[in-house]
Amino acid sequence: MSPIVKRKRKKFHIPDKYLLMILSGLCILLMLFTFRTNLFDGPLKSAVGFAVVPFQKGIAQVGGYLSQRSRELARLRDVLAQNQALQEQVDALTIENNQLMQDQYELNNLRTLYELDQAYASYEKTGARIIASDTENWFYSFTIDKGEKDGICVDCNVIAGSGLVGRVVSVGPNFAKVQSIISDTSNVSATVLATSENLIVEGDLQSVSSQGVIRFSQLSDQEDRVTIGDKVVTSSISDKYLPGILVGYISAINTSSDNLTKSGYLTPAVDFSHLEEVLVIKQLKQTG
Amino acid sequence: MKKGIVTALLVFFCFLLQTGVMERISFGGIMPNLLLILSASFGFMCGERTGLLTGFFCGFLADIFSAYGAGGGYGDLIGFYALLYMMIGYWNGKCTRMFYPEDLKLPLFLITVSDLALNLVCYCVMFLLRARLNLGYYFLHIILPEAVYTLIISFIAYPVFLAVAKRLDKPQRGSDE
Repeated sequence: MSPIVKRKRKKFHIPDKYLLMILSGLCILLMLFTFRTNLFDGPLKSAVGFAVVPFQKGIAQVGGYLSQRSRELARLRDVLAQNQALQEQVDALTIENNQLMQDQYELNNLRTLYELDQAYASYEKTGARIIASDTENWFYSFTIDKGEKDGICVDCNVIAGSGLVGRVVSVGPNFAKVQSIISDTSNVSATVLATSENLIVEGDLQSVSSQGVIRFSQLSDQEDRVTIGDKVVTSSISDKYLPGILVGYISAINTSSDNLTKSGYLTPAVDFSHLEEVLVIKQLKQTG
Repeated sequence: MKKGIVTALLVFFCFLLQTGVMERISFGGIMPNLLLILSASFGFMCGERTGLLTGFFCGFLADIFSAYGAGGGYGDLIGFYALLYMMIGYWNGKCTRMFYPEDLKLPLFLITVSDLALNLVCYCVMFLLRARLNLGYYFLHIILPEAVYTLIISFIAYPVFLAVAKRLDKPQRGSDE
């Protein structure tokens, strides 16, 4: 045994209070930086895309598999397949019908004014699976398993079935965050298909969670032509959303307190509580 | 060192559960907050330091995967949940002296109070400041249900975390500490 007693080097130790202060400062700095810039997007998102997203994909796949099996148990297999095929057809036809109605309206209105042969080209879409939800209950947002590598960029429109789901607000190499139109901070410029009156669809947690409807406002309709059940589609003056995507159906109309515009509620076309897969339109709205 | 790695893995695992599984067991659109249970329980089980670090990393992960729509068009605001969860971990760490592993009342009480506090702050910062004034509605339909559901889930989650923390706190053979 050696007689020399090794002195233990005292470990450098930051007191808890200071650690808390340092980390709080870091958080506040990060908030200030990320509020207006996307400075940390590159490295942070690559790291997250590498470390977290594969696991989330796995969980989503297992979850999807399990929910699929349980659904199959509940119904007969062939009925389900048939139903799905028919549903796809209905969705496709609804989109087509929507576009046709929009086209026809435009044709009637504009052909007389000037020669405008703008038809809605079918947008290039890509399917994506929802792999993660938000951690909190305050906002309706989710993460999908496609990102920059698949040609998705910020502000890409997201649809499911025949209706609008939301738009991409942030994108990583292999994932993207989608803010849905029922989220409290979301605003969509939309138009009533039958009368082409513009309105603003405002996501509102209170009406969504209590009645499953979205609020709209600033509908100017002096002649009371807009009725309950009218289709509402994204408007051509929106700077984020492509025109003619179905948002929902008007379910209630009230006159605003200023007596000039109307507000009310609309039922979204998409069933937000059972979303598993969505379609992302790769084409961006041209605003320039 | 070993403690750090195990805690980090636990944070990661809970985050995956929170984003992947909780949505599927949500009740009336409300999901329980597992990350909060983790931050709070590591706070009162292991002290302020572990609590605040666990909270910070839980919140940081939550930040990366949330879209508040507040970030000036960029969709990212990193640091908000990290700060909140860290404070929760730290203040729960203040209660370590009152904590006895056999007693279930205090942990459940602390978790519920933490959840209420977290969501009240979230409401004030993200909703009240945007003139959504109906606190009564949000309290009854979002904050309270989440607190109750989180309380129910902590009956399952807390004993698991307690078992992990107990194993970690056992003096290791051949360890420096």
